[in-house]
Amino acid sequence: MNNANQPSKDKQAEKLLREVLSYKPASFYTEKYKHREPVIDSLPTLTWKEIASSPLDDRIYTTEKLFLKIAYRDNTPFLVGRSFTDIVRENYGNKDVVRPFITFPYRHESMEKGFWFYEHNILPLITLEDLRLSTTIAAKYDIDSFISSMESAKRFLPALSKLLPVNALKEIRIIDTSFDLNFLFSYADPSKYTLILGQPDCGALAEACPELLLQKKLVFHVDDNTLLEPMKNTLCTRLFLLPTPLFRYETGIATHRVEATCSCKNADTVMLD
Amino acid sequence: MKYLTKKDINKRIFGLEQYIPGSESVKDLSIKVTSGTSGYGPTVIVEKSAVEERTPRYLALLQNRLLRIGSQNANAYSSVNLALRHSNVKMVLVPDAKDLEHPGIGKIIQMFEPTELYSAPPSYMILILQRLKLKKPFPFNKLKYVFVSGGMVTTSLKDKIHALLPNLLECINEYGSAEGGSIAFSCPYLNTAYEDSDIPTFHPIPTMNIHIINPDEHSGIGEVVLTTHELKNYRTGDAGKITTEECPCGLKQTLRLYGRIDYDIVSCAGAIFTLPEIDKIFSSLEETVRDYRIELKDVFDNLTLHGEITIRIVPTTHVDTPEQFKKEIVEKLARELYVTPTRTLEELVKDGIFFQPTVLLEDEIVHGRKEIHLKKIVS
Repeated sequence: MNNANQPSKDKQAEKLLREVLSYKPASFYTEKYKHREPVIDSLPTLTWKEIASSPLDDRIYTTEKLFLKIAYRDNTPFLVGRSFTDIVRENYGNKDVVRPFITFPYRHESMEKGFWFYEHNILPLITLEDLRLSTTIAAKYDIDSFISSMESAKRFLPALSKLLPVNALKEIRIIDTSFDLNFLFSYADPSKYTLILGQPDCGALAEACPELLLQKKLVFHVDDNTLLEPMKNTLCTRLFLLPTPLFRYETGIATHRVEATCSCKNADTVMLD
Repeated sequence: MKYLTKKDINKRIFGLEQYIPGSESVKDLSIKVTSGTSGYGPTVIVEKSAVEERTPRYLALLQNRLLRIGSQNANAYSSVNLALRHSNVKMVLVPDAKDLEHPGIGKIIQMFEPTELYSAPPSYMILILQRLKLKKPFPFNKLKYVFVSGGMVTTSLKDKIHALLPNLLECINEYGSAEGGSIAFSCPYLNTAYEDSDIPTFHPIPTMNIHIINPDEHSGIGEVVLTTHELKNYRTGDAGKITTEECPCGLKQTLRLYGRIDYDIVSCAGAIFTLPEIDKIFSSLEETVRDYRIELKDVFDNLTLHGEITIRIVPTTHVDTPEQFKKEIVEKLARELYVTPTRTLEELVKDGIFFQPTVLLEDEIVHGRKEIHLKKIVS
């Protein structure tokens, strides 16, 4: 693993893994890692199919109240647990905004991001199914930021731009695994965007370097709370306790590691293939 | 007294002054919206949940795994936020329409094993339950409580719900609105006391500020008005009657709802026509009548007020003897429909207060966004 941050992230992952393995009410990881040493890069990878086929209660590693999401891979649904405690640790929002508008293709995705804002005492407007109604209400609420997936951005930005100056928003945050920069930059300046590499089953993993984004280059700094192993099927380990934890999870995202050419201090840098 | 109506509340965001960014109080706020189908455009309200003052009954009953379906995203979000922060619920799953249409949803719900289900409106819940009924194992076997909002649960609908969910302990019908939040809820004792009636009956939440205005002299039915943190003296547009009576559950107020003041309950020639009563009669004619609309008109003959009734009927199949068919419809309706507390339509026709109803057979009745079965014609 060719990264200076990796050893400390490995240690964090192993510490978390020991914690998870000692949690008695759930059996998913004790079964999966039976007879294995908790050395992170020697562990077998985790697939969405294993998650989808395991009983929910076997893989819940918390007693907190849970908000469950339905994630889809290969058009197969499976359950992912979230709690207020872990949602707040995600890179889902900007604490400087006061009237965010959230829209994702699935209701639970929008709600999850909404909880992030609630936990920071910011009142979000969650999208409605109806495009015209949503945008009318967004204009009425005088939104100052827009949080969405790429698919929802393509649906909502054209309509929103007819009702309010999109470029005047404080932030447009897109959370997804592919980004259409030409489309996005046709609605607002690159400086308005925060692009997050993430997906419903594993959360926010990395953030596009704002400095390089100004040059229309899409290079991601991996979040401190994530251990990313770039490859064709990039592996992620979340370094804080998710209710349904992820260790070396096959994200299905193709990435490769790159040398950081920016002045940011985060050298854990990847690009999408 | 000054009253707010739907028309007034879409002019600005009511309750927005309660939002102080960065304050812990934000966690008890939510943005509620209405779709604007009333014709006045969408309404946006920043609502304080006021849990300590008037806890929605469903929060007290949530104990384990809540499945929340239906509603607009923004309004569903509010109830989920409340449940996670103010009830004993352990998990919440909130699939949307797209999730519920996925062929794998039965397995997901079965894995979740919901013990409580909250749906708005009831028709949507019936649709989902019927769709998943054939899944093995049936994903709703552990359901104990069903909470239904956004529509009235009539006796026949309740029977249907219990037939679909044999292990269900109680189906609780909540009367609420996007503007006013949770207002009233059904009670098993009230259900028993009024089991012969299809008029939805509730207990208002005891601390709810609710009253009736412009009550009809005979029936006592008027418009439901409520006051919340955000809206003072808000006219809901719902027709209701509040009475005081002891209930074994300990509550003393009973609210009965008769539909919308502008079209589900119509006053004509001094009589009151309520849609639930009419619907009950037409539901027994399901085999012969596919759709209907009753139009009522006040007609003055010199200084005497009369009522004129036109019944538009779409027959289910071809009618061989139309005159006989029309006669039977009129007779059944006149005989079974009480339009004052003590008198049937038939008696008022005999007394000359109403003209003999006219029946028109139609190929189709054109409805707008909402199906209108009862309408006052103003000439």
